[in-house]
Amino acid sequence: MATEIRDPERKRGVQRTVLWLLLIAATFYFGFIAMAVMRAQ
Amino acid sequence: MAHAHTHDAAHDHHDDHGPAKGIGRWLFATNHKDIGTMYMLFSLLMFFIGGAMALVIRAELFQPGMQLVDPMFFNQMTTMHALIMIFGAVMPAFVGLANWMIPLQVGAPDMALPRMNNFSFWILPFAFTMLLGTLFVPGGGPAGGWTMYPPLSQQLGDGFPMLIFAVHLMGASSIMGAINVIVTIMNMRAPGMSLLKMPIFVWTWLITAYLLIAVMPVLAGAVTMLLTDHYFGTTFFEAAGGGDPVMFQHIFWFFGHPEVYIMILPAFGIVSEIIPTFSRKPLFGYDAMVYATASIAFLSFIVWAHHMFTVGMPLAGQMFFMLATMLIAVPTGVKVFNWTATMFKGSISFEPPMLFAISFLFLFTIGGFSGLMLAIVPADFQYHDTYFVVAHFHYVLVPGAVFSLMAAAYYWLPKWTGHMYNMKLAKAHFWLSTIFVNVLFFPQHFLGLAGMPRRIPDYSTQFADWNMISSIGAFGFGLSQLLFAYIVFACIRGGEKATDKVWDSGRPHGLEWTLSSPPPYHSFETAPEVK
Repeated sequence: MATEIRDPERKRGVQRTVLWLLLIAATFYFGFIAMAVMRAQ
Repeated sequence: MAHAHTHDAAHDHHDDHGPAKGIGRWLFATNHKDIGTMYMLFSLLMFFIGGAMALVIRAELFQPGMQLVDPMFFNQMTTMHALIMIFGAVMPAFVGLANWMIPLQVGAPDMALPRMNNFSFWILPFAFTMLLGTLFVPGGGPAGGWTMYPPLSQQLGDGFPMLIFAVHLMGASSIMGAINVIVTIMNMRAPGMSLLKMPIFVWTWLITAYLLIAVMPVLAGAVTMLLTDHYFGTTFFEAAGGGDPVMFQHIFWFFGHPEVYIMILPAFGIVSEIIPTFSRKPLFGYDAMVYATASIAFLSFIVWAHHMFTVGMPLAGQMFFMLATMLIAVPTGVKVFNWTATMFKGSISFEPPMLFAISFLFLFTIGGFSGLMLAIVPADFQYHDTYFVVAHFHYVLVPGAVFSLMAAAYYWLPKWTGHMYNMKLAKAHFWLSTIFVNVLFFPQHFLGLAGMPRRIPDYSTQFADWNMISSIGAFGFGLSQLLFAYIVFACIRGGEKATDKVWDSGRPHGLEWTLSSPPPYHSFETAPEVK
């Protein structure tokens, strides 16, 4: 069974960090594709 | 660095939720130790598959002329060897170590996102089955080099979409693993463990994880565009449609150079843990080590075009990328100095982890120096695409990254299994590996300087002698690694009982040594106090 994080403050911290990191990853992925699209035009 | 004081009550009553029985324990694993073990066993398997491909390459190059394989298959071997060793062996091994050690070192019960942890591991076997499957479809496996430069990579047959999908899966796995590492370190540290009290291995992994978050999506973007060029009529990289193949190289190396540091920064962390233990001294310049690691990571983003000097770029660009690359020698020099200073006047003993760490120190430095030579633009015009480059990056990645992984295995294996391994065999493995790795790669410097190009199955007779020696070294090194596998599996099966501190005569330092060997299934259910 997975270890659950029970402390609500820590849980919010985990969720916030995950969202930020996903945002960074998505920015790099779509950002580089967008740059390539702009260069191709 | 942290001075830890824990109480045993934190981890002595978990019998009610130990590991599940049977295959379900592994398929549905959410425990960081189980997942770490799976990562490392998977990487060991990939190490042997990628190693077998290297031996095919070296067997063909044993003497001039075409002997064993046709040139197309040879090219598939060079490409697949790189992809498997980088994405299948070295990276998963470090993620496995992160899984095992980060919760233990920061005083957490597990990784912060255990279900995602399971997912990020289990997509890897599918990715690599698909990648290896390309060898059996019409057109064969990828043969244009691991860099997948278009238009060459676009000429691959039915294996093309399999390659692209496999790379996407590897990237997704790495990003999820990196998210887990960062979230765990930022949110699950024991009370009192401020950032500058974290073990250095945790620090190097935190910085590595940020590199992964930034650059794996760039690789994914690059191969997505290769895919749309191939199937959806775009011309990002096709000159005929107004695209630019050189743009792919810029995008690829924006990922590719930080990737090198993804494979070496955790190695720095491992060596920084081992050298103080067996020198019986604290790490010299802990803060400087952290800042040096961060500096190397930052610089890794602004040096990518040194891989492309011969493609052609303005003089200002050449100067910038040459000088920025040379700048990396400064924080790297700080690290080498600090490791040496840690050993200076220390009471050093030479257990297998320390032997591998010292070998790392000398041989990685050789790889660093040849990197500096390659950073010099006019020299690079001579060395580019020769065996000198092959020698350079293999010195960084084999006695660098791979030796650090072996050092880590020998350092923490008794903690993981609860058993000591056979020291005599481990020392024999060290000496065989160190001797043969030099027999294998050192002559490649001479071959490169004499002008032998890389990625060719045949060569001029003037290169015959050093190639023969290099191939003998390759088979010696490859066979020596069977000994490593035997030592690891024998240790898992049993052996002399390891104490909690394992290296009692040394100076092991950190929270992991306060737990039993092997540690309880859930590491720290009550957070330890760090002072």
